[in-house]
Amino acid sequence: MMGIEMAIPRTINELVTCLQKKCYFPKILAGGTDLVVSMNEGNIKPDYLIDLSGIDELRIIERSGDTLLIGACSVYSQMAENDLIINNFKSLVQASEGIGSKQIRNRGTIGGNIANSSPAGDMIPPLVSLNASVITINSAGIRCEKLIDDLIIGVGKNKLAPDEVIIFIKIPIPREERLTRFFKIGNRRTVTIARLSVAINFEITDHIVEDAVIILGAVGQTVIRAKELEEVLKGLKISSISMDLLAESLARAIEVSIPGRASLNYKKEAIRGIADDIIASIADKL
Amino acid sequence: MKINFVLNGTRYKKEIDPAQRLIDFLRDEMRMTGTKEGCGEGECGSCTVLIDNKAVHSCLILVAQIRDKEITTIEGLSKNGEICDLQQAFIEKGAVQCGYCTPGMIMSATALLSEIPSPKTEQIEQAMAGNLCRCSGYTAIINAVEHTANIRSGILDDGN
Repeated sequence: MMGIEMAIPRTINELVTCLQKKCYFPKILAGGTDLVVSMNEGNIKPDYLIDLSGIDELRIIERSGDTLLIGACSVYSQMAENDLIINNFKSLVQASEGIGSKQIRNRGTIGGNIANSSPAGDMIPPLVSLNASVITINSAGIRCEKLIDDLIIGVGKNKLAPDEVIIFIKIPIPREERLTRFFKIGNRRTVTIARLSVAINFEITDHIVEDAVIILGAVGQTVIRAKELEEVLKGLKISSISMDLLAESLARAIEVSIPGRASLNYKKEAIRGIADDIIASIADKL
Repeated sequence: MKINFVLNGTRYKKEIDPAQRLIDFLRDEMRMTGTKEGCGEGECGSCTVLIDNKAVHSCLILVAQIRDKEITTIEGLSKNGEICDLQQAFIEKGAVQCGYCTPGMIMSATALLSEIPSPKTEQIEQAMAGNLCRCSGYTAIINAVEHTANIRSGILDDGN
């Protein structure tokens, strides 16, 4: 596309310098799987692009004490194959494997998914269920840590300042063993945008649910927490958790969140499929 | 902006318009017209090329992003005017009808076979889920990929 200036920083310090540039409509380019689509459609017309793809540090995935640090430009295919993520956060692996096609997974980034802040963004429910935060940097070189749950506030809306860029995602690694899973329903089996998704993060000890976090995606403008169900499940023997118990509570959470929405009846019904998947995933803890 | 890159095994140093789409750069500047545009939004896969051996949609990449990378297009699969075994299999198995999806299909299959030399059918379907075909119903395409994998691994005799 003609007439667009592009910066290609090689380090985070160079990125900070780029963020100081005065221009009308700057945009950050990572994988391009959201931005370039919008540019191709003529919906977004930036005059200045900052390409993050040359900053190697933004693709690290490493453990730092009891925290996992993921570079914001890590691509989904890289995340799905990474041992640290496979061993600690299965829900993130499942979310990474389910986004788009192979071609999209080879380019799309975790930072881009968060910054795009789509209600159907697949990274967001698992990250919120894991208490993840972003580390950002701005044109003054100041770094900031923000909980992802607080960061995203509406459809495509977040609290990032115009000169602020996500550089890392930080996830606390729990001391105890947790069962984390991600389930997604779309119009197709694959290469599909989520119509409904659920991320769970359970602590199960001696067949009893000690702690439960359940996050619904692709329902409201931002993710919803199924608080009622979380409270019901705490202290429950997993053998006494039925599909109906899950499905009815989740359907209520959906009804409260999107009353009057055209897709309400579909989602209240479709959540039964996800309830079934949740039962299957805790079955081997029986 | 001047960038270095490798295209189909040849090194280039070129002045580029950094925000030009890779698909347009390949077709218009580098005259590699085998790569096709079907949707311009990363859904159909007809624009699939390889960057460092990974399948990507060239309609979603801006050319400045290929600096210092190795690009392979469909043209890069033939050597000395001879098509490769995968291309031959597509012809033999009836996997080419109108041919528009074919370069993208073959690039995705090439990437798959370099990662998984003997893929199961589900793995082929997964790897090529981002490539749409409006003509063939996909079966012949999957057969062509399986056939190639079998010949390469010695399960089948390639007749030579």
